[in-house]
Amino acid sequence: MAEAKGDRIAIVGGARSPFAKSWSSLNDVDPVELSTQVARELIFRLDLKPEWIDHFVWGTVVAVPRSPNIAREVAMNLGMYKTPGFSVTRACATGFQSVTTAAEMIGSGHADVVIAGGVDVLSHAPVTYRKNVIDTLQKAQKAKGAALVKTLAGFNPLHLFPTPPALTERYTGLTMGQHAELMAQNFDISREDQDAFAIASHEKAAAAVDAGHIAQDIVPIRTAKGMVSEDNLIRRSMNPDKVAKLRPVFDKKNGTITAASSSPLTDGAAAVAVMKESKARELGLTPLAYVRSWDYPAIDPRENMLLGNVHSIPGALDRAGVTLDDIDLVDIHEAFAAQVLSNVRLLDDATFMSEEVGRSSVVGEVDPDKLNVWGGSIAFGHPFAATGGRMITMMLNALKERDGELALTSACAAGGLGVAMVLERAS
Amino acid sequence: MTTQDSALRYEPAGEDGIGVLWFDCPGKKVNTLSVDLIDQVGRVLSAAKADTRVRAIVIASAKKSGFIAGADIDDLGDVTSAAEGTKLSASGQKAMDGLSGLGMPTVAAIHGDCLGGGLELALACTARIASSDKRTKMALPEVMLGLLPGAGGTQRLPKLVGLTAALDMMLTGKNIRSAKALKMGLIDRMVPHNQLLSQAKRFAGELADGKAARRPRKKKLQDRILEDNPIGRQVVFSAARKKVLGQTKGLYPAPIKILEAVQAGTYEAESRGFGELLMSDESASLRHLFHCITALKKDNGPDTEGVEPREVRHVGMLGAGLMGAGIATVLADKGVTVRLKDLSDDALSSAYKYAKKVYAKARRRKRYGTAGLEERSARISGGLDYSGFGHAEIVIEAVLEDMDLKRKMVADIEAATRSEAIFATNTSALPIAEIAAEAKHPERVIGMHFFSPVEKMPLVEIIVHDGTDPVVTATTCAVARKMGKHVIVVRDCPGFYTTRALAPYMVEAITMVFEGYRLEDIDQAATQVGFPVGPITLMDEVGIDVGAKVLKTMRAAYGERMQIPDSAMTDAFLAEGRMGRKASKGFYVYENGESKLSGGKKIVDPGATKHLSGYGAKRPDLDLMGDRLVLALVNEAAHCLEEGILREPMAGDLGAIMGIGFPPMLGGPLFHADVRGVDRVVVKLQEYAQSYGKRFEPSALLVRHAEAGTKIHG
Repeated sequence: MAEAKGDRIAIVGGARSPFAKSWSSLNDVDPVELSTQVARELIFRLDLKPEWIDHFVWGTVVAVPRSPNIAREVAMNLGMYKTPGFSVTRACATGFQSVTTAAEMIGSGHADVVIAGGVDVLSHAPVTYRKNVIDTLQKAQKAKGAALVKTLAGFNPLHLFPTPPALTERYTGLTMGQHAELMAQNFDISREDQDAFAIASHEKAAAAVDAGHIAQDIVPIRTAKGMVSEDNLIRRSMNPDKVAKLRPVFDKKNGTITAASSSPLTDGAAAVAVMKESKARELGLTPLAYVRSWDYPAIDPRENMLLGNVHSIPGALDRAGVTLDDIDLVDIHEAFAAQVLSNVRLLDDATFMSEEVGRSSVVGEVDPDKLNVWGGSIAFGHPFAATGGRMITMMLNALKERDGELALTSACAAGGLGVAMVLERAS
Repeated sequence: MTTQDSALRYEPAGEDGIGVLWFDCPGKKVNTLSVDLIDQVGRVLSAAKADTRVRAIVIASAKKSGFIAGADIDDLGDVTSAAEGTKLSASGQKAMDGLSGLGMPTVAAIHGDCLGGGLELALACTARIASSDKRTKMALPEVMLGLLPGAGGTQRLPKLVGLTAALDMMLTGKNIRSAKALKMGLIDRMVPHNQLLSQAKRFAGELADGKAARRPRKKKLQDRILEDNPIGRQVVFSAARKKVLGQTKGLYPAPIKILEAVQAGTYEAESRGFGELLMSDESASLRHLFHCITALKKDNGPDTEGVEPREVRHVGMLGAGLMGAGIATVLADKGVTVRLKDLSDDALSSAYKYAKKVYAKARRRKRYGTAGLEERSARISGGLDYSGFGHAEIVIEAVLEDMDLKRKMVADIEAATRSEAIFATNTSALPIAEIAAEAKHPERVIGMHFFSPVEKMPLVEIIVHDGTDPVVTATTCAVARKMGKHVIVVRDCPGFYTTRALAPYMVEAITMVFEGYRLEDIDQAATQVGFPVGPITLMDEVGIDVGAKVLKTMRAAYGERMQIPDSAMTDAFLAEGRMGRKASKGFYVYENGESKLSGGKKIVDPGATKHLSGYGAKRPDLDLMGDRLVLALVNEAAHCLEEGILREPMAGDLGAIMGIGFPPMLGGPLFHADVRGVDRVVVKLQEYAQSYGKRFEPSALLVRHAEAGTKIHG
């Protein structure tokens, strides 16, 4: 169990922006501004005094060139000039990384109160030029007169087309979608199962919204066009026939993964307040949950890259000293329906567990009624570094609403990474 | 040589041959100038010339805060005649000439305030070098005191920076920062503060060696056409005169005298103008106003001494309307974070937009960049509940003027805040003690009366009720000052000071309407005296419904004095939605919320005057009408002082000028009474009481001073 000298690591609250399809309602809000608004609202909702906060930890997956250390920008935007901050990244597990980094800082006595967040605004993804364009520009800056003419003469204007920001795995050269497609083949995940899973994700998310479980986390965001206070990716009614007719996107011929069964490009930010338990109580705050454990394994990404869930979950359960049976709610990040279905199947596959994970027993069968009860990233969207914060905050609310004690959350991530975290509801 | 116990210290030249004359007024934070001191400069420098090593002189300030902040205006009060004033100016000119005719190069090394006589002294030097520090500013602000730069400034400045720029500086008194000063040729060099002295010495050395010429001003084409020939100059002067007369309505003599002195181009015209201005009531009034501002800045708020304000970093703001948004905008501009609460996201959203608009305007004026705009905008946030109010040190309320609502706000805030948050209620008339009556902590309740638009209006009236904690008062004052506002602290009563002083003025205006005067004549009578807008226009601006409500409160509290002849008119107005500009329907004609003009003048709405029998029949006597308006206000201000609503007369003067547009060149209602003679004011009031009604009966305070032959400002 993660402890700070007998103190537990408490999560006191969480908040997030609406999750919006990229280039839609949050298009004009840059990542720093979006993060600032979420952090500020979290601080105000919890009634934290600025000087109580020891550190900001913030994550991004798509770098923000203008402000690479976004955590510090957030602190300064909030007028908290004396509060340090740094930024972290671990692909789609970045949101969790913020929280566990905060937990480690608290555990090691370096901080008592940390705001841990993450943001990705794909609408603001930087566009890069080819290396030869950059070289030419650099030369042109120094050159004068004839030399300048010569430098520019050798320049092909077509090269000015920027290189598209692809979500490609550098090591394998494949996109995440292509990797997921490979997994669907390797583990024989049918198109029908994927589509059904995706539709269910939207249905569960819509039901949760209607029941009022979601709005409590959302910070209305100020944009130039007015306030934005709702997620805009959840589909209230999906026609299964239409979903079945969608063309596969990553392997147009034989593929099974469509836009419907993938998490879309999304803009959003999320943050949670992490504290030393005793500090929270001293400040008159009520912990909502404790971070019981986490695990961050890695695998060779070449074959089945998105197996981070099945590799991380056993470790996190072990560290928490619990089994799947003890867990009341399971929340697995939905990069792709195929990835969730593959991982869930493998958790109960003795051969795989023994050969690939090196465990003598299976984790077990995940009860579908406990899995992603309020929907997942396919419905809400996936602003990479904000997903962890969303999942954690949502699980805290779900545990309370269902009167559960333990929640298991997990995400897979590029580079063959994964994370699992066990949260315990504060009683 | 060193002059002992003097404001001057001469540091003899070393090997570089540069002597330094240090200004260091003993026992003062800033250097100020007197004629004696300028004379001393001449004497010290002449003596310094005896030293054969010295080739050039640098003039610098030993004060951290600035160069020379100008002449000591208190000295000017001792002058009793224009001739004496002229003489004073002439000796100043002579002393400056002594400096400029020293026979060796002099360099003024400027950091911080270089104002008035300080800048005139710098102008008399061979060259000027200034620090690039943002605190460095140069100005000739004499015009704001109803004076002109009388130590050669009107003559030297145009030669240095050109006619147009010089007139602009002298007629507005505005501050010029170093970068601008360099561009316009006011200074020759700009250097980092830490290098100021060394660079000034180097510059002086170069001048002595003939290596450095003064940088000639680059003249713009327009300047060359206009300024380098007599016809062009004539055009500049007549345009300036026209503009001045338009802006001052001929009420302020100083700008005209400045123009005349520059045009005449003689020391004689300058010193004569100075002497005349010094004796003018306008200058006396403006100097009094300056005095009020300086004196009241030192007022910590509560009557008790030694009460320290608490630090305020976070403010809760109830209501995100025009007032709430304005207050938030100014607070955030000064580094305070503000949490708004209102009933809808739309209301919050429009407050954010309001702030952003103000900041964007400041950014366009280069007051700060994009980061400055973002930082300020980020300080304002809001919600529909009390989240973010927990740690507010002060909550300012700007909800509707409704007693029950305000009391509910007090209760809500007492529940929602953790610390000992102050509840500052922004009301223009409701008694604070009543708002605090049901509070658990009435000592934390205080009135904070803002004026709209908050970012432009310079006054905050702070109202203490009998139980207000002195720390609460001090803290609230500190917040208002942090917002850059002038502050008056007054005691609690219906209407406090400003609204109460304004009410009889408005009553008088309305009474005149019933007497048969035309609306535009009543407005003109007021503007002719120096009010920025007339009372009828003001009513349209404030809102007739709001005005009627306030007058009702006033009448209930003060009876006949605040009684308008017939309230049926206001009832009829409100029944047809005639609520002023905001309704595009008022005394005057509006279109989409803007005044409709005909020949540059507002048009009276016949729909408004149809309610009045015999409207417009009376021929205007603008002087008499203006005087009735002014004296109605003066008398009420005296009532307020008498009752202790005002703690001292200066607050009455400052409050009326900054809060309700009382003419600055009258120096405030109470100062005006002093200047005019309290006895004469009493006679006039008695006369008006006979002719127009008992509301004019002079206050006991005025009568007392009249009988004793004393002044209100002792």
